[in-house]
Amino acid sequence: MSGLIYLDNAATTFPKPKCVSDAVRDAILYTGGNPGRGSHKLSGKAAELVYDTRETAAGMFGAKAENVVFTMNATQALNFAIKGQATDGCHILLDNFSHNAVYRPVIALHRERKCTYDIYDALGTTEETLNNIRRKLCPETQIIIATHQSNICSKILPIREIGELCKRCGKIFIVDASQSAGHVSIDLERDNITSLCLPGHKGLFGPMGVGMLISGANAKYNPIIEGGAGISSLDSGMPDVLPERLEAGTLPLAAIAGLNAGMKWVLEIGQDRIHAYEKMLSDIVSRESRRVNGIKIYGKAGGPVVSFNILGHSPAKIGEYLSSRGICVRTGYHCAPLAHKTVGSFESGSVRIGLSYMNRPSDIYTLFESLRELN
Amino acid sequence: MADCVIAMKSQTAAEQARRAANHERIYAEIVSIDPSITRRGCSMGIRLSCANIDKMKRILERKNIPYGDIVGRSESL
Repeated sequence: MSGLIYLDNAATTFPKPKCVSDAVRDAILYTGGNPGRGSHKLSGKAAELVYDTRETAAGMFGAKAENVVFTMNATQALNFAIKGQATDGCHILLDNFSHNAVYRPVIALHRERKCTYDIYDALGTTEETLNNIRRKLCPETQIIIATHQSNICSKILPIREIGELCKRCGKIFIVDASQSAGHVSIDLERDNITSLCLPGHKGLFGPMGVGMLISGANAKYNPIIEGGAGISSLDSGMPDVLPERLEAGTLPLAAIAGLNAGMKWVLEIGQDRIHAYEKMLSDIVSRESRRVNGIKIYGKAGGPVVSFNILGHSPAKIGEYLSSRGICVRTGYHCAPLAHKTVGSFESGSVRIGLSYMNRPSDIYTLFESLRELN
Repeated sequence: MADCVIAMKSQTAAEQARRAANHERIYAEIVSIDPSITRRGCSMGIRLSCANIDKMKRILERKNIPYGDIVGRSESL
């Protein structure tokens, strides 16, 4: 990456640790077989690698290995969790930071007249958010969805408290951990989560092409994709046990191998240490931003995701200008119109910085030096 | 001693069973089961010494690992 400063880690983390690319390479070169599709040595080796990865994820997120389902990405995990659990006539609650990966599946169910929905305000304090949920609950409410951390600012929703509320009310609790996994501790049992949906390629430092749907003990899904599962081939329906019930088709073995290495790397460093480091970087962003004329920061700061605009310059132009200087950021709506409405940047979208453990303070100083020169 | 095969509900369950067995110092390996035996198509099982079958079933039950029938006996590995 010589000469480039990568600050688009909320889209995907880059660079990846060397252990990740080594694991991907080794899976392709030496593992080779199709997991769960035979009893020969290479298939068995692949199946062991897949199971190892389930165990790593289960240990990291307080779940059982058999409840770790591999998906293509967090979007597919969210579609499985939402459409696979919603029953006809149900009511769904989602928050006003929701990404389109949550919003669009819910809207699709609504348009098919299968469910109704409401959006709760999660901008305020924990108590305000819980009260907003309580006010929107109705007897038909079946599912409550929470964006653990926004993808346009560093707002973190109180999932433990929302999970407790869901447990008391007997609701399904789906958490979109796309921005928080690997940055903030998550435990399915402690947080009363029914379905945890996350990408492998962001805070877990895996390659693109694999995500996970991790479930609590009582989750029951109707599959929304059917196909080969390697077992019970003569049955006309998918197997009734997780994870095979939701894993139709061949798994992305190389990506799973990389994800396993990424998760182990994160665990070795420690999520608390990663979180503290990113907080330190974010504090530099806060200090430096005060020295840029006309800058407006949206939503909550203090974490790895920061959105801003600069008076007199469109986000697209700022992105183009920074790119010409070798600085990678993301501009626009970040697939999250609801969140932009919530923080007041809906009119134009914003410029987004996504920090990771791989960034150095000098990356941020260089960014803000460039922004000051823009003025 | 002959070997026995316990049918497992899934590849994941078979892998769990194999690891649980090894953890308890029982040698077990994952095998494909002839589709004609289960009548449900491809299936996985774990093969182990028949002398360990009862102990293995207790382990599977203790660990809530879903399993099916004892589907085969053979005199050699």
